[in-house]
Amino acid sequence: MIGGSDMVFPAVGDAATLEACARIVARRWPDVRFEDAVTGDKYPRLSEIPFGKIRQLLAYPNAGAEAAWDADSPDSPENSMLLLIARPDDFTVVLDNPETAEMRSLLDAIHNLLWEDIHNAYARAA
Amino acid sequence: MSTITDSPTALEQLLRENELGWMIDMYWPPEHAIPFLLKQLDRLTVEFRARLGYDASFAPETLKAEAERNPHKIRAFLQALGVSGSPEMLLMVWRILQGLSIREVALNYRELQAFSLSVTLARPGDEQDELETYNSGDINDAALLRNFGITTLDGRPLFDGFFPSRKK
Repeated sequence: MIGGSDMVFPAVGDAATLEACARIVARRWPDVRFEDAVTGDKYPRLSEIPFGKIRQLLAYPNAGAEAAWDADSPDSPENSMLLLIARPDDFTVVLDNPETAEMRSLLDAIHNLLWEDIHNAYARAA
Repeated sequence: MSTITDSPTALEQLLRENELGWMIDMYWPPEHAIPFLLKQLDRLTVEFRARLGYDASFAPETLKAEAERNPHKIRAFLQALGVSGSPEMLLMVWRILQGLSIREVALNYRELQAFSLSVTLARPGDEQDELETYNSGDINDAALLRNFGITTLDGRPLFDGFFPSRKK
């Protein structure tokens, strides 16, 4: 099972947000593989993803990690799969360990990217 | 052979579905808006072929079909169509929507004297890949930068993607 940290960003979780964050993941992982978490449809390239039809997207750093997860391997390394969840009122990244340098960098980039949405959410709540 | 200008109803429907009806209603006279925008799409088709050497369709029906897969991309593109009169800048937007990386942005401005914007794109991850540079001397095109995804990666500046402005 994917690990136990849900990083929730109070941003509009729509197709644009999902693509923006997937692009950041692809920068961090140049050999990334994506998969629709609901249907299991796989997308070797970012440009092939129909973001308008997907709300939960799995990301693997490479084909090897993807194969290990597909095989339910108990040896899948930490943070070798991310789950991106887009909901109307938030965007969530589910991962094993958010404290690694790699994941902190990735989460910081997503936070910066969604900053305007996050700012607006806090302004509405104030 | 049909042209994009055969598709006025489809474009109006697409604009209104994306809450961009103002692009028609604010144009004067309004009935000239759709023919003008269709011509813009025709000019973009020509620009695409001239720059990239193969054909792409920007017919409203094609955009509508893509909107079913990626509604945010078409919304962002239509917003750009409302901002820029430059086929070159619209092609730049389209190429980012197709997945190209924004390698360099150069903006020069001198009050009441000069404006220039240059955006260089390339395929992601390949430093040796062919660069595509798009230029504008129209200050209105500066508004396109508002749709760039803006972030930092490891503390380094990053423009990534072209996204629709949200409803307030």
